[in-house]
Amino acid sequence: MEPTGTGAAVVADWTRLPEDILVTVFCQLEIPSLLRSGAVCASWHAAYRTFRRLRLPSPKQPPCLLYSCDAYGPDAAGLYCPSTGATYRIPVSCGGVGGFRNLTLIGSADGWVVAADEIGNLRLLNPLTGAQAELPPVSTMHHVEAPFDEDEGGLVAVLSCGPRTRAGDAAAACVVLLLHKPMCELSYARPGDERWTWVSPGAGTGLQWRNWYCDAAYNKDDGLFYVVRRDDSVHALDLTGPSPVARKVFHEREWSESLASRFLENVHGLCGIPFRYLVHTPSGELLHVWRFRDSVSSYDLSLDDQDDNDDDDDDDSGDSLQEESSPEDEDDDSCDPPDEELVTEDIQLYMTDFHGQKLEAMDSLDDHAMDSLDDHAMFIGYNAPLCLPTKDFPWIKPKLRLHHG
Amino acid sequence: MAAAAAEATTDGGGKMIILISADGKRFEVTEAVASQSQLISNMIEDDCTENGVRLPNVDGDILTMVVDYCNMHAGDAAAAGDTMKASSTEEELKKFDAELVQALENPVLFKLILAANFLNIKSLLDMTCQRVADMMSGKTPEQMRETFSIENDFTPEEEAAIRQENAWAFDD
Repeated sequence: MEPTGTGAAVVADWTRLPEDILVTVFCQLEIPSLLRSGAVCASWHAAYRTFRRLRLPSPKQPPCLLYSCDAYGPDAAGLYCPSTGATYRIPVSCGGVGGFRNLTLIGSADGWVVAADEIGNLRLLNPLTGAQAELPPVSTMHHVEAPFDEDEGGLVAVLSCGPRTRAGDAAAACVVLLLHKPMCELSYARPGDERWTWVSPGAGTGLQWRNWYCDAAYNKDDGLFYVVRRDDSVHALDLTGPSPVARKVFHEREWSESLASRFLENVHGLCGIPFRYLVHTPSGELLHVWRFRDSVSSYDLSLDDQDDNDDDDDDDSGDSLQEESSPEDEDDDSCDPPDEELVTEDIQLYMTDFHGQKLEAMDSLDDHAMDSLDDHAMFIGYNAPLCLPTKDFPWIKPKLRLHHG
Repeated sequence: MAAAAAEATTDGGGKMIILISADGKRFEVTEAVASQSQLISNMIEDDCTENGVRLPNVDGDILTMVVDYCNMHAGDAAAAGDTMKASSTEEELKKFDAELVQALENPVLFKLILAANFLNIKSLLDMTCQRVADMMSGKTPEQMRETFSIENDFTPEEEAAIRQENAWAFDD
């Protein structure tokens, strides 16, 4: 395959690569490399500007850990990229007392985070671009004085996608669904709304009375939010219309089923009621994740501390860039270490069988069902869980992979 | 002469097309193979391939690679292709693509991208763009300039301003 052509030889002048091709290349880059490629030469910079103007995604961007720490000060975030091992210090100016360090991150999508300040007011923030979008004040929530308190936390936000600040229909697609006190109720808002809309239970919305929603997940494929209750029941929420519509898609647990025995063992054991997550797999399956935790004196850890940190640290959610608050940084009170801490005792995974209306424990699935989840990695933590195919992210080590049994 | 060749048919019955490179090299391929190029596929539809397809901005050495690629991938692109020839397995294709793309360096990579773009062969364009992205990944702007022989045409002020915008990404 030696070059034999002589005439019309094209000189490889990479500054003259057509802009649309450069933009295609940029879509394959992780964000730090993308930013650096915009500083190579004028023509590449122009293509980089186009890439940014078009708000194109970076699908190859693996999940990262976003955190704050004393070493970086109040107005900077740490961004750890496990794929490259690099850590970046990113200045984040978000005003207010205490800056970024004082914000609690309660949800994320598409590189955006939902951040709560000390009095519970929320905003959308893109730490890499510095862009922000306002959310309505918590005082506009239905019969809510404080949506969460620092002791209990418990405020969960699920973001459908990043807000597009440019005018256009995409702006309407960004919805923030909140699970908040009292009784884990549901409210939602879009950036720029004047108030939060409470999803009232009852005939009007189809949402079941008595709330206790534990977690929610947004499914980009069907545009619906899925919310799970303590009794395993799942409702699908359509928040695109003028008023919310809920539909029960999975029934509450029937205690006679064989599944219950395993659950009961834990419920009546020390671990109690599991902390729940809902997560969609890339192929669209809905997984229930039960995380059993127990208070353990920090001086008498029965489990390897490292294991617990793995679970917490590798949290991520969203598509292009993921953020998470680091558990180490949650508590500033270093002079008074807590006597007790929560240790994860067990994590159980169940696949939702909508047709048969039952949960299949992952370790009882047959090989065919398992195939759809082999070589996927799951990240869980304070924030929304994430399920990723490891083939797209070769840096995910086998020890982090999801195995049944 | 070209017309006579273009009317030839293969033993398998697929109509043949002649591709002519900038430097006059001729390649005889089936319609199924050539149709992977959206450009040529449109030309086939419009019935204007009889006298051979002249590709004035694709060199012979590059067209050789493109034809190899299209021959290899004809199986998955056109189901109605040559049934006599065992279609390449997915594994073979992966290996072929990996070897092809790994061997690509300046300036062949550059020319192949332009050819894939001109001929509108999406899979080949994606693959070659991915190769460029891999060559850029993790590098500083200086290292990228070196890799692609690009001269820094910013004024010092311009470059400083651009770096300042996302200074965190430049701290290494």
